[in-house]
Amino acid sequence: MRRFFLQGGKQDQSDGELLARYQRSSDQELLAQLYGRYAELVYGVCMKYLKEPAAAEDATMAIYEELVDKARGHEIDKFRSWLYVLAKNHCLMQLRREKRNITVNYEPGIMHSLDSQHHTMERSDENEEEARLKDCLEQLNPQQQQCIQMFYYRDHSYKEIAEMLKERLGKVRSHIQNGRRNLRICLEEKEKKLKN
Amino acid sequence: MPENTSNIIQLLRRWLSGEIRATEEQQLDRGAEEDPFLRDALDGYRQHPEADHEAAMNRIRGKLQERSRRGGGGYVRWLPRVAAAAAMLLLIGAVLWLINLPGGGDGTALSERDMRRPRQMEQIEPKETVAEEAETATGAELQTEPPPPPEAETAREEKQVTTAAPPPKPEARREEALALDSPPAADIAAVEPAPALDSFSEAAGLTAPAAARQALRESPQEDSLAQARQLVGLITTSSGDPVTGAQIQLPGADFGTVTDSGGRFQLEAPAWQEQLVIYRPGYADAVITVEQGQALNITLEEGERAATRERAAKRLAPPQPLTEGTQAFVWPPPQPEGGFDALEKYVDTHRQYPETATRGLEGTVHLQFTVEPGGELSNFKVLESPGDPLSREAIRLLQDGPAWELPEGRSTPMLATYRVGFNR
Repeated sequence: MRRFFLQGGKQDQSDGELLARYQRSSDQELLAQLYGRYAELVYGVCMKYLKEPAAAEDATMAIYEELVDKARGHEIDKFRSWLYVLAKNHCLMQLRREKRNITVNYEPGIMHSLDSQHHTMERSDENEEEARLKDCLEQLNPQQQQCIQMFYYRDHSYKEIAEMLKERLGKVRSHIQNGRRNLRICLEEKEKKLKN
Repeated sequence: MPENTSNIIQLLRRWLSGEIRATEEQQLDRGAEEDPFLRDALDGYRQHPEADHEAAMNRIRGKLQERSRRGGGGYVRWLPRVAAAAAMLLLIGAVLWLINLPGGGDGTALSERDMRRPRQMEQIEPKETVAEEAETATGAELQTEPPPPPEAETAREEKQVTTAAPPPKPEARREEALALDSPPAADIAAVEPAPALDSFSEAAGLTAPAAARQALRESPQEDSLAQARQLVGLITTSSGDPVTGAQIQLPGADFGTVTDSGGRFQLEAPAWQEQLVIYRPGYADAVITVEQGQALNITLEEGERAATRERAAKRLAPPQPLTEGTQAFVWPPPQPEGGFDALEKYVDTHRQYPETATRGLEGTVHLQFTVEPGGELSNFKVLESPGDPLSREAIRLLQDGPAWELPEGRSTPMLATYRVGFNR
């Protein structure tokens, strides 16, 4: 295990070099090392399309299996982009085989709108906006409010917040995520009202 | 791997472990704007904010390692084994066919790990494993195969980790039911050219309908369940004198208030919050349990007790000063020069009951105002007041009183609030 992680952390070889070595030797440890660099991304993508964490976990391994052959036979220019397409296609094919509706939830720009709100607060002439944000913050449910305050205003990490509130990390992540979304909705509504 | 890519992945790993902070998360989100791979991955993780992604990743890494070891050094090492397996498979298939035995019984006792092996084989020799019976047979066969090359003891431990099923999720059923109500999501219009069919993915065992967990989390129910409640209380010393300037905080949070000159406080607290912490220099910290619908009468013990303070600090977030009457918003808040004690003293000695006020007009004026970087106050807003003459006097007191200071490192104006009481 240790050896594996040490290898994973070794970044002095480029993707291309690692891949070329794998193609010459078919040594799977090299391939696993390469794949390991992007395993978090692949798993996340699988979860987006397959919806279920357990299914995504299996698919992440299945994609590796697919890679064993495909990485050997193909000319791959940019491994990272190539892997993205491979992973996505794998999931879409799996959904198709299961004849499940291929649906994807998009949540565009949740984060950025709050972030931009956050930035505008730094400007001196934005008291009004600050007041609006405060107002919206107070409308959040208490858990979300508390977590958002600790995360954005006191710069605590998710983990620290979880420890302080004696909550599971996932709960904290959920509160912040939902709080952020609710804030965005609230602020957008207020802005709409202002314009009218 | 390119420099910025590896940075992004480091950030993503910190996000998964929960070590990430707000600024770093913003960095990650900005990265996702130009990076569809990362964007999709984050979307995926955020569909399941409550899942233990880190544990899942550890399992995946374990499996990956195990798998790559078995795969070993390419063709040369595993080809003979595959050939042997294929031969045995044929043999068993023939035997089964001869005795006309329906396959199934034999395979049930196989461990999860053994069940996984056929998938590998199928991929290498797909022709051999078309029929279901044959698949079972493969499993049965593989059990008799000599164990894989000797592995270190650590490897055995890892196997336990990798085969452990994810913990059952009690909420799963509820979520599935709720998911029926979730709005239809956008269809993906274009499906990109498909890669070749692989034979092992059936084993992924996807049976549940696409239940978007978010449906539950995003339902308005969650918000309506929790309600804030108004807590009212009085803090006194053991001899019955009111304690002014004591901080009342929710554990670990930025919310709180400070007692007024009569030792009273009012605080809107989440209904689910069961404890309050009270800090006052010169007194021992108190942690009190809030009971439903009761005014809180709290007695502080005089004398700082380091042990209590230490214990409280360990359990709770460090005490922070709060503006009187403020539901603290931006942290830390601006403060009057010399602290709130100095301001309170100033207000007490300079307060003049306005001549113009109707006799008997009394109560508390709650003001909001902007603290400028130079320390001046502007944009006074009256949040609550018994009457205009009192509001004007309260504003005058604050304007003539001590200058205010912004917290360190802050160079832009901030909002603050303050209460001034008038009693006749």
